[in-house]
Amino acid sequence: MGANLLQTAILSAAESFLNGILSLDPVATSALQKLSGKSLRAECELPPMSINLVVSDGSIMLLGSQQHQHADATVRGKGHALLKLLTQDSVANLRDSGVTVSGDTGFLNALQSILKNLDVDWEYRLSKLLGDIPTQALSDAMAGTRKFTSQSANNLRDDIDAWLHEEKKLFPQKNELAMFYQDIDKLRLRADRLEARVRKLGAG
Amino acid sequence: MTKESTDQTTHFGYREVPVGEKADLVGQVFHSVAQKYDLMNDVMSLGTHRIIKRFTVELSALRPGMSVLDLAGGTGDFSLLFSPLVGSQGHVVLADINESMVRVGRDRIIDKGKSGNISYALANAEKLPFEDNAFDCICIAYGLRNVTDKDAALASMYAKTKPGGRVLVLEFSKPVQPVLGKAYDVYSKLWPKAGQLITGDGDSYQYLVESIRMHPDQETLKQMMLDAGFERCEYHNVMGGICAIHIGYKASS
Repeated sequence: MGANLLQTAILSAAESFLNGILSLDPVATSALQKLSGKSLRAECELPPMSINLVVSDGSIMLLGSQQHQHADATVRGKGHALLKLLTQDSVANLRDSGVTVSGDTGFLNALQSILKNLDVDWEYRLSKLLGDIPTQALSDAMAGTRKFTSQSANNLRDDIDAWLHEEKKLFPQKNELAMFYQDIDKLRLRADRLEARVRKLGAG
Repeated sequence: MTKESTDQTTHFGYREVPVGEKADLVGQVFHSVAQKYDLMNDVMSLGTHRIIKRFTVELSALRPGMSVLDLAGGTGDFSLLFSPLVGSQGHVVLADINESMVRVGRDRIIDKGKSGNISYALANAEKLPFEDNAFDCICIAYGLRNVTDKDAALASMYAKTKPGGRVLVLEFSKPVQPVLGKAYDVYSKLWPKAGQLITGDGDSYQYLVESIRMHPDQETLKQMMLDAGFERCEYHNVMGGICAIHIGYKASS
């Protein structure tokens, strides 16, 4: 029998990556502590593979299931549906997703909310790599860029708005619309009064 | 092996030495390389030993609450992987015949803050100092090769395994493809030189290379496990047979 080391290698790399991200969020780490010892098996139908996730001491372990391993909860479905599960709010709305869940769904919900609410302090990680001052400069630059981008987007939206309404007259202005609606209201009232008067004359 | 015990000598690498001396000689090798053992493993296996170890752990099928013996556990790689799988209710025993290796392994595990369910033992694999039927899983990785009497070690491991439990033996083996075998031969000739550079002790790595050559191949080891009493024995070739993982089970009743 030959061994499939590729899956093990990929899972090992994914585990390091995930634990690296989790370690940057103290809230997620302490939430994971509470789930210590629990395990989840993800059985993927397409591509066919099976992964075991074991929680321990605020970190996770990803192992391929070579043998029928114990798991507190199991999710089964196609690859894309399982990935979608990560982005959903809860495992309650799984009806049409083609994913079946068995075992401890409370654990699954807790795990999902940890992944969804990850709040990673990138600046801290960067400052360890680059040092404090370059990180501050970089984050200032990024904040500046973000501000400039959002301002530019706002300006562009205003400009397009003005161009469509004022220059091209493709759409009516807000106040023009208001006057138009007011006129309609006035007309309806006068029509009502006229109708009442006609009825009164007819009756008399 | 039986042949060796009758004529009272055994192999130490390519040399024949008296049976009583092998353990000491192997001990000296590992005393000398203990501190940089992991680094050398990375060099010799091009980093793949970590993946192979994880694959072995995947075969262990451990569950929370189980007890596992990490035999010839050395620097604690396996114990660190087993520990989260058996959880706080379970128990991992890191055992090695070599004090320096246990010391390095224990320090490393404590430094990682993972000491909760791991304990340590200085133990000879031929005469394991545990109760019979004590472990759900016994794993010996890159260790059986260095044991003087492999049959005695397998018999002792069988005795200490719980009925229904399993034994995993990860060891260097014989490459299946002749071409790969030749390439591997050439590559492994570099190890003593690399060992000299990294640990300052080329002789120890010369021994490692020779001991790999002298180790029984896949089918022989499988037969040895069957002879020791294990059933449903099978093996997984890793990297074309450079390493092999043997699994054997102890009958449930």
